[in-house]
Amino acid sequence: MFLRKIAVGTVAGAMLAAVPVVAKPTPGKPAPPASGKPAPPAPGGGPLSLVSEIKIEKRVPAADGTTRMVLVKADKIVPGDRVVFVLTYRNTGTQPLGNLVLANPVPRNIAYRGGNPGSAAPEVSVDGKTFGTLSGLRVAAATGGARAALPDDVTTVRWRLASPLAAGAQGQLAFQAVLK
Amino acid sequence: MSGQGHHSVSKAWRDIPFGMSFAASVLLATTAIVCPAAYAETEAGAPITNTAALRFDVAGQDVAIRSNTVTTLVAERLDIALARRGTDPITAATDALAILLTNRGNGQEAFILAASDGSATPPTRFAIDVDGDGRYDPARDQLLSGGRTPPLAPGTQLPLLLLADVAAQFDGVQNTISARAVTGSGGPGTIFAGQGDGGGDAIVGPTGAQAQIVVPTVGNAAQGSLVKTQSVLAPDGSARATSGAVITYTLTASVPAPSRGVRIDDPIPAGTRYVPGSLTLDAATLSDGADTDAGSASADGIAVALGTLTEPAIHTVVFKVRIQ
Repeated sequence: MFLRKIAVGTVAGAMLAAVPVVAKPTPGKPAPPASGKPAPPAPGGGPLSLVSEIKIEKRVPAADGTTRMVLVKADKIVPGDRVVFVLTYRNTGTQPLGNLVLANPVPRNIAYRGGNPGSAAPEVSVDGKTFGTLSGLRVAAATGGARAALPDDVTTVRWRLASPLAAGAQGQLAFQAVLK
Repeated sequence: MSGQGHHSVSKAWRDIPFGMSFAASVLLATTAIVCPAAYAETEAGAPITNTAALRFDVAGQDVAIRSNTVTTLVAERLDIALARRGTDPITAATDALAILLTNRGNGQEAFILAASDGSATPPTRFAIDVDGDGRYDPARDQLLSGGRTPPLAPGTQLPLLLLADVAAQFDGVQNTISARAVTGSGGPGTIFAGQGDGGGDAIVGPTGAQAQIVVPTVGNAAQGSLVKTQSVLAPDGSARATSGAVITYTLTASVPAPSRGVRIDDPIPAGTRYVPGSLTLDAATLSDGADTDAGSASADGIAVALGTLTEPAIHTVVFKVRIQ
């Protein structure tokens, strides 16, 4: 299975150079060594929480007269609007989690546009199986043959975290898309 | 409606016989032009749902989890386009004026139409031109009650007729036909909470969810007239007069006869540039150069010489400019 392949490092591709990590030591519960005995995932979601949100950019005027963009909950989107899918993950357990792979099928009626600024760029796929950078992917052309893949062709985005997620650590990943 | 202050009409009728004076009126019409989308728009009320999947190893075990499923309802965008069908001159003898209404929003929407012509008794009845032939057939075409269309699916184009209630009712200077979305209209971005399809909000789109077209009535040829209308097409497909938008001007001249040296001049409005090769006379292209054909165009303006007319005639000059 492909997780094992990742573990032995045979899959090339974008690995996260830096994962925003906020270590939160748990008093009285030192993190077990990486070679510790396997612990069954905690019931009800396991040792990792993953929250999915749909947001839109909103211009907010600042006191100094400038405006800045903030992400707010998308409750009024119409075709053509740019939306940002935000995934927040957190290690709620007591052990480090390795080989994190976060996959997000592009929802129906949504067209992928790119990684969100501030978030690591995802690997993308046009078939849900082969992942890579968009420029390296090809799709069947309507006129026969193959053509370079376009953002509209992306069906799944994926991030693989390069380093284990420590207990209590969390991070956020996001991609931009547009409502068809 | 894009009422730009700089749109003025200059008319130069030269050597008009019999000392006739020509009253030119400036008429502004917004005719949104349908711009095909790259893909079908998501319909109002559709849920957008997202669920992410995550796999990881914990202490040697492979674990897969899923995120919550987040759902956002697609709001209803209210947009409209209104255009004239056909180019036949509207005269007092006209009994039906053919138009085309397009639901450019992404929801099921009904529209209300109204007409005025500057007189106390404008034509008031609208009918669906079921067979699209531009003529009213009481047996087949369907009168609209109160000028209100049935709900139209997104993208639907509805051929309509504005009908004369009595003979010779198209007797105004111009016929103004306006339409608006029943749910609401106004400034783009205006929100009608909870009134969209599927219980979501309705939001006014770039067209303001209202449209107006002005069709001149070509008067009795003994009087003569020059009427100018415009339509705007912005790069985003809307009718907003923004930078890069193309304005199409239509000058309809009703010329009495006999006339000599009849000529139409119109300057290019400040802040715009003539679109080369866009000058036409009665749908035939005229070259921009001052050469053997009747027209010429430059950065300053267009000119079309109609010469000597022995019979009353109606001529249509069209040209385009781009807003800088």
